[in-house]
Amino acid sequence: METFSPEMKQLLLGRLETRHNQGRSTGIYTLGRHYTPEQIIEEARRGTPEGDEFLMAEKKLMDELKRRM
Amino acid sequence: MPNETKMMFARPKNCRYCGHGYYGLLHAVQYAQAKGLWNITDLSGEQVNKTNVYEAIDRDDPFSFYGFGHGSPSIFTDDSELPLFTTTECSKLSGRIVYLLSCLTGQQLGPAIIQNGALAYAGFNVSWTWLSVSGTDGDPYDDRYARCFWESANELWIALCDGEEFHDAVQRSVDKYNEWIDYWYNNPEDPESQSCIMWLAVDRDGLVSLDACDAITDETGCSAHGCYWYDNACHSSSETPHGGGAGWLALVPIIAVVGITFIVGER
Repeated sequence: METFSPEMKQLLLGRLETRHNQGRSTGIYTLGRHYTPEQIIEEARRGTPEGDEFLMAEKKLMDELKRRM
Repeated sequence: MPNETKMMFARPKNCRYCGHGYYGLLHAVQYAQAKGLWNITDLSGEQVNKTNVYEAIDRDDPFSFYGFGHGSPSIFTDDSELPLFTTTECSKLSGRIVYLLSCLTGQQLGPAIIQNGALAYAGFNVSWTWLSVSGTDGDPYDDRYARCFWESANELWIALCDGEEFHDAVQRSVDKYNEWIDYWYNNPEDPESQSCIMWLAVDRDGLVSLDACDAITDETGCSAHGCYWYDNACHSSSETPHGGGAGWLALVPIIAVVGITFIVGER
């Protein structure tokens, strides 16, 4: 899986938090596990494997939006 | 030798969050039935266990298998979340086209399925994820957010039913993900538009396809199997830069599903 620098992690985390604060985030279930929007951000903050996956997804969103601008 | 007129589906229902898959794959079943070209074995709910699936494969010898369920890198599970196929027990899929709509099997199980003789495999090397605002029971096509994920995943099978070759069918699925990403990009007022784009892109990029040519490592064996040797690796004809003619993988469809992840809207 792609690894991010601390600066990039901070940027992606900021985007996740901003969208959550705007009420534009969802909870997630994965293989039987449920993550609320708050838990998603907490996992990303703690840098767990699941949190890194959420940051990777955020990066994909960033790239996808950029490609279409 | 698998029977090209036989197609098999596995649609568990009672595993965690499997309701959407149970109804979602029904769209692919019905599409195939409407074509009228195949004898279809549709195992669903509690029928999806190792005994039944293996017996059905032995009895019907389907050319293609489309399954949905939970998955890990090395395991694809059944209605009770017990192993159905594993890296050490997947030879039943030999000679067949396999599509596993689940999490992560593209990492290990998919390659093992090909090494055990499957003609082709499609699956995911990520946790396949979707959004829903209506829970996970019922038809995901009726959910404003879930529909785009299930429709994109089913497109691979729909394309096979339309007679597309395997790699073209995979591309049609990718195109469908992109079509939906465009849709959400053009509907930014929807609060979940960015979440949909994000997870559609994750699923799209996590789609893995392999075929028998990918398992061949020598040039002689490569050409002997009707594949093409290019850049020190073996490729199926439809992948070559030469374009290729009608590849030996003029495949009839099947899909099997592995592991699942989904996102449910929190309101």
